[in-house]
Amino acid sequence: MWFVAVVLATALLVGCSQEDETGGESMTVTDDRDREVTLPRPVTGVVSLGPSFTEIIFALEAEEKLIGVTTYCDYPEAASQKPKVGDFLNPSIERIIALEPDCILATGPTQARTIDRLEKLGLTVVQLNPESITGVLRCIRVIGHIVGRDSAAAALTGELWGSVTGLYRLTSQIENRKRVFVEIDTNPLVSAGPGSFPGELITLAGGDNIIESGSAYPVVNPEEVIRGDPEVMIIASPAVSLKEARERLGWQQVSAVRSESIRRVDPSRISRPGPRAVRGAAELYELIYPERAAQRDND
Amino acid sequence: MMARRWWAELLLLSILLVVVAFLSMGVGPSWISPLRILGVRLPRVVLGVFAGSSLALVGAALQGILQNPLADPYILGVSSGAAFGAALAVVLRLASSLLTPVFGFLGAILAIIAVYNLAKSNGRVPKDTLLLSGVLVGFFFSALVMLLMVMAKSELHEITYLLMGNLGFIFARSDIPLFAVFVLLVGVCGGVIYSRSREMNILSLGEEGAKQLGVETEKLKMMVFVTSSVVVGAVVAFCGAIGFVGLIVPHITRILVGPDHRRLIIASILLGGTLLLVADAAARTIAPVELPVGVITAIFGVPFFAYLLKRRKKQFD
Repeated sequence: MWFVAVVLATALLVGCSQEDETGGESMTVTDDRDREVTLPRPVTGVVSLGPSFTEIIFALEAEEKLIGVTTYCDYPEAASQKPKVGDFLNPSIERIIALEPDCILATGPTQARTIDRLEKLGLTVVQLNPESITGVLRCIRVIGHIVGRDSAAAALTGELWGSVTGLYRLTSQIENRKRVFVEIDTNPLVSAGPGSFPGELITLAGGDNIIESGSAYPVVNPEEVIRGDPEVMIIASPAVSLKEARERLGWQQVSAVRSESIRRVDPSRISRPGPRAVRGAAELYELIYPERAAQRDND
Repeated sequence: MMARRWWAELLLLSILLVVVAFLSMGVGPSWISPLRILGVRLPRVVLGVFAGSSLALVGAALQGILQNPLADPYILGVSSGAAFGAALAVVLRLASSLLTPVFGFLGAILAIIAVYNLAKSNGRVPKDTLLLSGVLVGFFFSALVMLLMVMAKSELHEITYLLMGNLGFIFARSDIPLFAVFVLLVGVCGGVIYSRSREMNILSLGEEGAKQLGVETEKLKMMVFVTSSVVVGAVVAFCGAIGFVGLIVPHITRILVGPDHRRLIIASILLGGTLLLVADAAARTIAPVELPVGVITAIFGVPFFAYLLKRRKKQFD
């Protein structure tokens, strides 16, 4: 079972918590390119080029070190008060330089070109790709180390890991997993495949994703939804109302439509890899298995 | 003799459209019983015929009044206006699939008004001025679309598909009345254009000559421009800017049935629907992911048209 492997890997990662060193004028972290990056200690100015990183820094209560964010960084609300360096795909190099950061957090390979340019200009970039639950936990610990909040990071990853294992214990016992379709976008119809972050959350929440292969976010023909016959539809797409989703021509035979099991979820809670999304898996469980969740609350 | 050949061609093209429409309902990314899937495929085939026929009709009409073989439905900037309207609805995250076509159509109307007022001087519309105004307005709205794309986040994908054109619009029951209104509007506009085909024939002999023969050329150009633009607006609002069909189908049709607009327009309508259905069947099946149909029409349409051109040249040499 792939999940057992993930559980083991994560246990190892979370288990060997980084030492909370206090001495020295510099530190090194290993980023997701397996590159040792040397940073000054303490780091005073961090620029976040991803909403996930911004969310994590706020969750670690290290926001005073955050000196620049992207226009995508809309959570928590206070993040939008921070100076903007552009959007996720095209951050402005000049604005980043002007902020004089000693650490820039970026995502590869989407931002590979930006990272390359920043490094050529002598800036320090830590590349993190939190594309899975374990990736998010690792990302929290690395960022925690950078901003000098190792113990807060350990507490947060511990709490998140607790909720993941708790949920896994609950959902691994489900015998007839409900077939689930996640609608990320509507025109074109886009879903989340098994290799994507939302796909992992669906599986953790006990769902059986009807999209079994393809890219992380494949464009899907509606016919595949009818063939897969999901029992629950999770709508993350902002471009369709629940009423319209219920009344689609030719979709009336889909189990989820017939049983009115179409539910909406905030897209940033399932596709933005951060602490909120890891907690969001429990919310997905409640959306997929409302009857089980209600029973659990009564117990 | 000519008339009999025309009726035969008309019959053949009609049968072809019906056969292709039936066959394309049996084609999809995976094998499922066609009956189970009918509810999804039928609206898509209807949309394909609607878009393909409308674009080919408009292409034939605009090539006629602008006397320019390069004219296509998008040359007068209307599609950029429609794309801007639709993209705006996407970026504003209006939680309704219905509002994108509505905004798209309003954008098209805006572009039509802009082009009309730019091109008109002293009640006259020189065709070069009309072309230039169209290109100008088109550039302006394209720039606005690009601005929206820069500002967009996850909606970028949706706008890209809108620009490339695709028939994947998922119909909800509440979308049907609007679609019916659009079809009706396109039908009326198409009828108006067709009723002018004799005058378009005369115009193709030259503008001065047509005037001497009593054709009100300015009125004709304006009428065809406005009705064509309304048709394009309605199509782009639902399917995005599907390229190439509107440019190529009238040329293919001209090779088949000759330059007489009375035949050219009808034959283009039939062939446009047929070709777009074939292209969409390919878009749904040839790759593991669904391709935008506009990509298929261009990739397969260009070599096909190049072949026709070469062959035709040989005939005349």
